[in-house]
Amino acid sequence: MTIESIIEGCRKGDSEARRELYQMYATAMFSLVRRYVKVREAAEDVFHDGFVVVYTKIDEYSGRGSFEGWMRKIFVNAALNYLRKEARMDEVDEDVGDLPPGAAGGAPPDALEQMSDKELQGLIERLPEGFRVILNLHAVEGYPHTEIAKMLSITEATSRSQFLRAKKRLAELMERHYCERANR
Amino acid sequence: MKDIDDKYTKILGEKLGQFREEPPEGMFERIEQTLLASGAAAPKQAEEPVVAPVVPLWRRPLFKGAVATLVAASLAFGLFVGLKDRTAEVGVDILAENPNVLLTHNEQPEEIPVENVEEEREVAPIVTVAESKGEGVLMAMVPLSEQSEEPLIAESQEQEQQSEQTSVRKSREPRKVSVKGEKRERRSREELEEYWRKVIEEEPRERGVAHPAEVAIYTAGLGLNRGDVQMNNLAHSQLLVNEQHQLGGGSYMGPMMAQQKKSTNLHHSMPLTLGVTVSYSLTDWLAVDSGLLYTSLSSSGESPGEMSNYLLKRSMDYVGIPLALSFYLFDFDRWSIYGRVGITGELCVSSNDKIYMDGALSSEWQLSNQNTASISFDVAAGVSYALWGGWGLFGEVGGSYWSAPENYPENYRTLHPLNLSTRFGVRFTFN
Repeated sequence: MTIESIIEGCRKGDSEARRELYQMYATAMFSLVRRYVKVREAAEDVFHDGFVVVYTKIDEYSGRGSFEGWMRKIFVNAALNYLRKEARMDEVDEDVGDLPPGAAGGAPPDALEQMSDKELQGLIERLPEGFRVILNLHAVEGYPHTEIAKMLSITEATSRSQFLRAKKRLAELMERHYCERANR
Repeated sequence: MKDIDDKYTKILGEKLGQFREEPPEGMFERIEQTLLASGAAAPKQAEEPVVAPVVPLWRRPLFKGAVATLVAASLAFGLFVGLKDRTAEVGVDILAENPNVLLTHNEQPEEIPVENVEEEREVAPIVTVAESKGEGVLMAMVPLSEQSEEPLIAESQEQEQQSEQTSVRKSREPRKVSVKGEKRERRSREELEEYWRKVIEEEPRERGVAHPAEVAIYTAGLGLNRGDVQMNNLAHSQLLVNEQHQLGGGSYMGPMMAQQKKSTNLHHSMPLTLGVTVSYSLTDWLAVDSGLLYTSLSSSGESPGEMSNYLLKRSMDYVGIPLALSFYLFDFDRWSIYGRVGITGELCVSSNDKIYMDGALSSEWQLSNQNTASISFDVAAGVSYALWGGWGLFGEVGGSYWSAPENYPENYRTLHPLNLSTRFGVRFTFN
């Protein structure tokens, strides 16, 4: 089945079309939600709510832009609403602490490229919620800082500075991660 | 350096984008159950051929127009009849107070009573006979029933012939007295006008004691919209950033200096008020008013983005209690002109912001710092018109100054604390 026929089937309320759509996009969307929501149980709820919105508002998809892009917006909004409702975006940026004296190792210059996606995701989860959101919105989803400022009701300068701080914090976490791995 | 940063961001994005985690088992069934419960999962029926519906008579525009015309004509006729009836009532009331006055409908009396007579009867024509020479003259008033048709004349033929100044004036027609046996006499037009001037000025008001207790239902705030207000981009608004901070933005969204890189037209709608007030007269010209008000404020702004369109909607609802003094300045017939001075205490009972992205609700949150009581000072001048049965209409034009608490969410009132408004409504007067 083509995506257009699946969408049409979903519009008509066809359960099989909905199942097809779910199977096509479930993993990608759940992974998206997990990048924003650290707790798995909460991520499952957000994922469930996101798909309900997709199925109920599928008539509003005008055909302009990709359908996956339209779905991603819905799931990003669902994740942000959850974080806002839980007031999770006020988590304090905790200092990762200094490396223990005499610790050997450190992140190589191409540490990011060498790191697996699972390892990177693990480090991302250790960032404060706000940093994680900014990183995902800009680096992964590709939203410019002007758009992020509107979505999060912050200034563009705040978005840029928070992104830089998030990258710096990630680099510190990466440094510590490699040190810990080298000293095991 | 920028190239390195861009490359780092690109690699970061690719790595994170490659992360995959499987959703839990049974999630699709859970979603299906939710859709079924909400009724959104039912397959839609095949579209039936469109058949032009038969529009019932009562829904046709022509019928509605005819009914509206009929209602308007009935109201106008009722007003007209009410005006005429009221004039007759006034006449009856004045007659009750002044039994000497006999009114005809919408006409001034032609005569003013002079004295009362005990019983109703026909009085014989008045005959005056001038004094003549000789033996004198008889003058008499004799009831008609006892009277011959011939006029009374001096008995003495000789006296008549001898009198050079005898004259007889007679009125052949009996003069009827009023219903209560009054004998009336014509007065001059100036005296009649003076009489009626006193009646109008001195008679008590037809609706009883001046300005008794009243209940008014009204709406305010229409027709004086001051249009769009240009302000900074909402995301850059210092006030909004502060609000987010107080909501728990923490170190992530702390207060920052507002940057005015881009402006967004934010439209603040004129406040709309619905109210019920009760007025109680202290004196003939002074009354105290109080009641309950509901005010709705709404604002909206649209900002097109690179990837999506954003729409912000803010709504705030207030409940207030007014307290005012009304001064009745002038009354004429059914019209009254009055002034009003007072204060209104209000409390915001509901407020929220909603952001829509591409038409879909993206986020919603409650505003902070709005649960503080506020006071406004009101001044107005108004005109009221009494209909019938105690009902009347009124309209006012006035101004108010709204005193905002500190750090209040931005709305029409915070930008225009001094505001003009109109107020229209219906009023019921208790006698």
